[in-house]
Amino acid sequence: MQTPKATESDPALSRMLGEWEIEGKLPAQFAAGVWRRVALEESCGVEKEGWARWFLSWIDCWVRRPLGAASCLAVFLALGVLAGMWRADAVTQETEAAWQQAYIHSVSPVAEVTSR
Amino acid sequence: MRRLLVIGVLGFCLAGASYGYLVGRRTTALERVEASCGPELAWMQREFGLAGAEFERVRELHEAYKPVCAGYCAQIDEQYLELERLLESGTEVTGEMERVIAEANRLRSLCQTAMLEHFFEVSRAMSPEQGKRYLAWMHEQTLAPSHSSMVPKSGPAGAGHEHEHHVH
Repeated sequence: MQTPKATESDPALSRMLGEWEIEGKLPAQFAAGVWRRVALEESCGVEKEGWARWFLSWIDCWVRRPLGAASCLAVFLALGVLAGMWRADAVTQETEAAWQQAYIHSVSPVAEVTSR
Repeated sequence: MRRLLVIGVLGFCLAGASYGYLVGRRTTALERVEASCGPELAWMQREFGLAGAEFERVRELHEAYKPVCAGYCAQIDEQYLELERLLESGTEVTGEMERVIAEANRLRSLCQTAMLEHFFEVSRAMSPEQGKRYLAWMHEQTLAPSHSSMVPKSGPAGAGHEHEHHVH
């Protein structure tokens, strides 16, 4: 790698660098986006007193980002689905146990049903 | 914090909706099965994977056996009520008491024999493997040594209640 001094001493390279134009364009709203993120970071003052306050302010800061909000909703959804699946299985087991008891009692009224 | 609150409320709604949907769907499916054939046969259908002609045959056998079983149960109940009446006025075992006990035992024996016949018939209506499993299960539930035979635990008065559901 050449040092700045070395490029200065190379007139061809200096001319080439002088003629080099940046053609790429920044996306629209890039600057606004940068300032919005800066403002968000500055407004996110995570509290340091007490773990509950710290956690709440951290979450609050986190859900301000679209990705954070989406993740939070996904976690709620996953918890709902897991709880729903667990309860649905429990309902099935309870119902089948009641059905089983009903069958045994329909053929032998005094039978004591033991679960399988 | 307002945004956090909104996300929290929205999240709870989402979780509640998914929970309710899953539980509701399963409950509806179970209710549909129960409504189609009643709780007893619903269990048979699910436990032994019965379908089509096999299930229809089991249903026929079950429906035919129910009045037979109810008949025996009613007769056994009558004997217990008779014994109870005799016990109220008696101070020792009488010939009449012996006769009633013997009759109750005879009816219990007939009831158990009919029950066994029914189990064998039902097992024959299934595939050999499931039929064997059914017989083993019914044996364990109704005729295993740990089973208190056909004597109701709550006594003669309770016997009537135990058998009540058979009389339709």
